[in-house]
Amino acid sequence: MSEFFNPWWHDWASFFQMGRHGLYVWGSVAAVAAALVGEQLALRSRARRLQRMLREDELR
Amino acid sequence: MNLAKYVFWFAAPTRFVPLARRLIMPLRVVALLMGAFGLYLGFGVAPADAMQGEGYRIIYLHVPASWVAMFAYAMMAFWSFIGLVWRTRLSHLLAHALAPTGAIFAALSLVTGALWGQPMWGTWWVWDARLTSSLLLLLLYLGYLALLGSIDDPQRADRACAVMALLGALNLPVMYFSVRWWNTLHQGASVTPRGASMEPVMLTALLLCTLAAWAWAAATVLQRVLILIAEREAHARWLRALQGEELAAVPAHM
Repeated sequence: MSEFFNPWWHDWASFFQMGRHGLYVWGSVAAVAAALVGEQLALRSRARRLQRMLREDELR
Repeated sequence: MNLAKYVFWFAAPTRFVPLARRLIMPLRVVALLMGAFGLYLGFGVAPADAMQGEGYRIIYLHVPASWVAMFAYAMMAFWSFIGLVWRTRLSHLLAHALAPTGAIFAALSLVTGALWGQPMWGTWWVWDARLTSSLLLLLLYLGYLALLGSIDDPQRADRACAVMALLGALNLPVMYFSVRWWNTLHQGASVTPRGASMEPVMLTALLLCTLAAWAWAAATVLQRVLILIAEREAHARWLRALQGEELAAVPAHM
């Protein structure tokens, strides 16, 4: 249970390097973050477009 | 006892919309909490892999993305089936809402897989059964979305997409069993209903990340289906207004 709160990395440099695979690991993290945030932004702009359309319909 | 009344209780948008609205925030909270803890365990605590070193940690992104992509397609096929058989409009809208999220997770599965494959296998891509069927899954999602966008009439679009989703569902067992049926570069299943050949910390982190991914995807799909419902209703109102104008344009004595 104590192992759950003991990180394997002793300094931030080794955390960011991830052995020799830092670019691949953090690249994957970046891809996931970008995709999920991008999806939210797209959804929000779709909702705004709909709101605008509904408001225009009401005004007419 | 009228069973159908309960089975189809939430088929009416008036009942479904409040339910969906109430579920979105809790799902997001669950996703963020589980994701944070899962990623902490996976990236911070779990030990390195004996052969792959630290680079294996992409597993905590790649496996959840793949599972969600597959599960979302299964859900899409399920709702398509319900919509075709029982003509419940909302079922089709749920399927339409699942498609973009499923496509994004399928793409992420391929991208994270490639980023994992390059340092470990020495290649970004290989045409083995697992990777090829995963690419097919992404193409099926994109095809579904293209079909949806290409048909103007909502009812026809619903039916065409539903048929396509069901046909494409044949890819799912192929994807799942590909590592067993064929000789693949992609590794076999480590997590099965019979058990997992993984260290407990790794397995815990993986399951937390998977639940987080599922909860996030569910919240996003519910967000989208609410927008789709509103868009459909606006379209129906616009159609009725148009027909009203056309009827009014016809002189009364004709």
